[in-house]
Amino acid sequence: MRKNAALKVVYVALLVGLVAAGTAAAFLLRTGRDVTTSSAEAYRLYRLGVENERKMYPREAISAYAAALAQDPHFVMASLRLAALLSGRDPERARSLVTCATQRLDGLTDREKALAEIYKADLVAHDRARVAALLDDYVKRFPQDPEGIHRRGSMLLWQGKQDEAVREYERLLRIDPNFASAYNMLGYFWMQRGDAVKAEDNFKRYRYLAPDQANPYDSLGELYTSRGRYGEAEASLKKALEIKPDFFPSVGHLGTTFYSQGRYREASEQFARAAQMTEALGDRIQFAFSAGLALADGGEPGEAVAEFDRLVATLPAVDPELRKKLSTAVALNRALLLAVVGRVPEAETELAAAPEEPAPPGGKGDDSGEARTLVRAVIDWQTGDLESAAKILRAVIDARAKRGMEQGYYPNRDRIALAKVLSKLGRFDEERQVLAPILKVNPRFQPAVDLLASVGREGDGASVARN
Amino acid sequence: MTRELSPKARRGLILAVGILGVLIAGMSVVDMFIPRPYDGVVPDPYSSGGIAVRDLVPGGPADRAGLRVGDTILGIGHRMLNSPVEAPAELRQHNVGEPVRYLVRRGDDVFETDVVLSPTRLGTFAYLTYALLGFLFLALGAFVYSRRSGDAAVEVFFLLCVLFMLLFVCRLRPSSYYWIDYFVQVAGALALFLLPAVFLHFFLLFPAPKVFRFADPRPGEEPPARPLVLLQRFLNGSPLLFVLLYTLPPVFYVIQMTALTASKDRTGLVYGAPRANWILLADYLVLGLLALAHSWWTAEDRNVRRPVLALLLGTLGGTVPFVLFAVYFPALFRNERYLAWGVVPMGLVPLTFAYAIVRYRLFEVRVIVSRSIVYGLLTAVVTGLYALAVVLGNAVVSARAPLSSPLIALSFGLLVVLLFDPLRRRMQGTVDRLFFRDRGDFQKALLDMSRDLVSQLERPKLEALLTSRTSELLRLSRVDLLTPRSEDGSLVPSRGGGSPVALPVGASLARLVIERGQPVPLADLDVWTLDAVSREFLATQRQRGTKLLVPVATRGRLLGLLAVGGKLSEAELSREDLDHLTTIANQGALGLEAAALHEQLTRRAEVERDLEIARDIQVSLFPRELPRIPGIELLGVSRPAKVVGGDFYDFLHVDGSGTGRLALVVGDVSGKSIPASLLMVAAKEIVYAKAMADPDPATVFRESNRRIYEIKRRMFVSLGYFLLDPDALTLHYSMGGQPTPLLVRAGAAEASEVPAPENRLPLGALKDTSYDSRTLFLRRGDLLLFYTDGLNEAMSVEQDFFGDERLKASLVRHAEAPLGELADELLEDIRQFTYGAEQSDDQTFVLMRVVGENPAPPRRV
Repeated sequence: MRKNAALKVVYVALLVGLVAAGTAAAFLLRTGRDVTTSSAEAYRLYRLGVENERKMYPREAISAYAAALAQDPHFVMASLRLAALLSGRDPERARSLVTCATQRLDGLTDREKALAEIYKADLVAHDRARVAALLDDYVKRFPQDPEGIHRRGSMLLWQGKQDEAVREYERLLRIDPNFASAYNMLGYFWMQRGDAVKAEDNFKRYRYLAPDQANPYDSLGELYTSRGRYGEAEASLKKALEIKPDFFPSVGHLGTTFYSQGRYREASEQFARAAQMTEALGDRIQFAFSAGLALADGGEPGEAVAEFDRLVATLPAVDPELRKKLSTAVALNRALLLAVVGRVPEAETELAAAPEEPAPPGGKGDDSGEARTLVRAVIDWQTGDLESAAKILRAVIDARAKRGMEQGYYPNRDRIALAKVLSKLGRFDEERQVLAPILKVNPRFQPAVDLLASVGREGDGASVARN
Repeated sequence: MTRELSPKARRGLILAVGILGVLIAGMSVVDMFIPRPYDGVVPDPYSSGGIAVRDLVPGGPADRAGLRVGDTILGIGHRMLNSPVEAPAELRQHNVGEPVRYLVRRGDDVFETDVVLSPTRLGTFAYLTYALLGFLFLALGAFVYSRRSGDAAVEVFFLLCVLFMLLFVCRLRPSSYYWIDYFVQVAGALALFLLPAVFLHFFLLFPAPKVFRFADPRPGEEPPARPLVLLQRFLNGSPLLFVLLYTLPPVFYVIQMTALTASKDRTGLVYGAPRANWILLADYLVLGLLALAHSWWTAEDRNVRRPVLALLLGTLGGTVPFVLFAVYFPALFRNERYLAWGVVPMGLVPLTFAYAIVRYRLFEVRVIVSRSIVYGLLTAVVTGLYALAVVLGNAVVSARAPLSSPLIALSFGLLVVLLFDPLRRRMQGTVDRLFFRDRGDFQKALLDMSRDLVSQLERPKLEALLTSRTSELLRLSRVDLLTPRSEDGSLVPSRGGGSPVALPVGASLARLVIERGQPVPLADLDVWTLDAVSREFLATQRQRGTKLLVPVATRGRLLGLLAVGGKLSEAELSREDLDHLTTIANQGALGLEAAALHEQLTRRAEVERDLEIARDIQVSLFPRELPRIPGIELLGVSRPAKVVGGDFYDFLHVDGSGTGRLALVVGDVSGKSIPASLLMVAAKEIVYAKAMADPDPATVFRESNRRIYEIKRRMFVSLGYFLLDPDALTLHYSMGGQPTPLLVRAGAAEASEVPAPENRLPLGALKDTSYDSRTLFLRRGDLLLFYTDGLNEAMSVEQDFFGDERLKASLVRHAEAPLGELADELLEDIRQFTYGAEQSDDQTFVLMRVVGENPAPPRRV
């Protein structure tokens, strides 16, 4: 009898244990939150913000994070992500957000604390090296966190460690094969490496996973443009704009597409639109420059600088520090444009007046050092110091190549410039060699085609003259 | 655990396990045949980084969408997939008819295409076969358990069958990724854990609990090593053995799954379970077979070896292909091509068990008319043949346009059914002969016995049926029949011997048995309070080895009692045995009743026959017609008291012709039987013979008396011999034992007795008796009444005699009436006197009236 009673107790205990375990598991699985917040609504808004961020819809992401903070003012991760998005337009506010958030780390998970340190290093200290080190540590501690791996991958790309970045993204995809952004990064990597097939493969996977997002179409459009598949590029970019009409990257890439086809006026218009749409000031400056340059290359040099001036004149009022950084960018880009159109003294003046500041965060393209070099190269070109110009331009091209940026709008532009200089120097073979990588990838890159056509004629004439 | 539960609780638990298993298996089958969204892609099961298209269903959704063999499906429904195992889960998220976007790589090109999903059923013919095999196992297990629950081996066998069913139905199937999958996969996994252990456990118990003796000390040999002894002790019933047996599979599973999960390597899974578990299953199966083989090898009883050999061969034939093709090939060589070769032969296992149970009565199961399994299978097979024939026929018939009417197809189908019915019956007969011969013999014997019981009218043979034949048929050690003895109705052995203690019908035990109306085990009687004679009777029965008392009764009347001993095999009497005994006893009661009735009828018939014969004899003693004597009126009347009477009268012309003197003989014999009648005949003939020789009454009587005395002592004849001379109108007579005739002279107002002789002893009373005679002179108008004592000794209900006076008065009263009327009136007067009383004696009389002229005075010579 006692044995029966003991057995019954054991069975009941097992049953209770099973029920308890099941309940606990169900509860834990049900909550499944990866961030700390007291509000379910705030969490929902936070996830919305992350989703929009992945889609590269910054405005929507900002709104979502702000709304999440309205629900839970102490929501640390929402603060940090909002800060990252605002850093390009309002770095002061971004800094403030990060500073306040990192003072409330009690009660957060270890992962959140680690991320907070990374944001602080990036947005407050602007210490990229520390960011890299923190990211390395973060990935070691949380090897299964897709976000961490993605950030580290991006960092590696920025550091020029392309191959390591690729490995990181491939690891991310093994963990989560549906992490769409990773395909985008890989696509760009392969595009830079010149492997259009792999690039297209990845971009198409990206598009497949996020068919309702503009960025995948934009990435594909960019790829098609770089390969001279302009029809597909336009269709893809227009699809992106169909999905999100204010998706300025696609507007910009459409400009690139037109530019690549030699449709300079249309290109300028698109670049101008993009400049007006973007809220990232650095991007605005770049688009403004591209708009001006397209006009210049299209035979309308007189309007090029005016267009640039028009576009940058509407930069919003920002804090003095940012203003200062923006001024550098504006000055350097203006100086370059002035140099391109032949207004060398103004270019010299502008160059001299540009403060020595690094490029504003969020900007695409060169930092100010490289920008100054380019200005100098063009000035030399315009003043007849072609050898110097050629040397500088070759150095810039090589530097980009070391960073893995051999292909693309900016590298192509630099090569075109160098080709023109070499053409003036009569070094037509070198000119062809400079243009060859462009045409190898995109045999329909019109500026290069045009130059090559003239090289053929001039080359023959020059060789006859020398002979 | 089950051992500590009550039998009822244990049965309930086992039943619950079975029901739960059936529910889950049923869900699995339904799940397999519910239409699912399908893309028509046959993937390479081992591809990674996408789903390599190995083949396409022609005309299927993927084919129509433009996919080709060699393509790689990278994503389904806007989700990337790494391997084919992820595809079904993805497809389940969509509906049939829904276009689903696929991402496909073909060479260097990556493109998207919409695939419109079509319905498909995951279940295949192969799966259906596996499921049927699984349910066959269940049916077998349920059948055996229903016949002999409570036996440990049978319980384990039932659980084994349930687990085999779950293995086949729930494990050998693809995932459907619906909620049913969860239960099914858990059940399948459970089956995989437990089946090997239960299989081995079963064969360690069956046909008898295995006892290892390899470490037993043998005389003249060195004692075995201690490890061997410990091992033997461990194997021979240590609870740890079974703990280990049952624990190993789940432990293996957990370890393997943990390792595979950590390495994210799905290639170590076979049908969703770790390879190691499958190999463990195979090892356990092999051990079980070895245990069975060992049982066969070491069995000494031929009756055990034969069925065990059949089982061993069948289980080998079913299990070895399974181990090879369904376990080792997929697990070690990743080759599932021969899966069906391994699973289908498993059907031999339940069929072998079924055959052994039916043919050899394995598990000591008494197979009583449960043909449902085999007949069901037979019907299913023949029905399948019907359906196939109908389908094929219709396919042929309807392929021709003019004959494509549904009516034609229906008619064809009916025709096939009709044609195949003789086939089914023929096959049924073969199955009967093959499987059920023993049972058929038994049934036939039982039927014959039943017929004999109700038709047997001879009591000794009936009793033999109830005793020796019953014990022979049911293989009992002994059956005694106790029947009521005639003296007091107590129940005693019908054939003598046996219990010296009789059981009175009124004893408490007898009443109890009657009330129960069914077999009563002696063991059940301990709780009853019985009287002393019942207890004594029971004690005696127990000493004789009686196990059961079966009432032989009809309509609440105990005609007998069967005292039944145990079975020759010493097994318990089964429910079927009790049912048979009840049937036999009931029919025996009918038989006994019929026999008793038959005896009664026979006796009555014999009595009636005797009476008939006696009646015939008696009738012959009366004259067919009255003699015509001029001047004399005669009338004779006889009313027998019973069927056969003892009185008679007759006339004899002693002078040899129809004229002359006439002798009137009136007689009465003691007794009313044939002997009495025969004596009367003899007496009559003797008297006649003597009278013919010398008609003198005294002489006739003397001679007749001596002769009658010699014929039959202690039987005598009352006789009156009256010699009438019609011419002289004299009546010369002697009498022996008869009442004195009455005389009413012409015109007299009273009747008188005629002068009686002095010696009137009945004839045959004494050896030598002399008789005297008298002579009466008659005149015209005289009326004489010759009668037997049935008239004057007629008794009323008040026990009064009619008497001589009333007789005389009645005679006088009606003296003037014609003789016929006179006779009627006389009888009427007696009837009125005796009204309501039964006639106790024959009433015989002769009336004589002298109507002629008085004779002339005698001439003197």
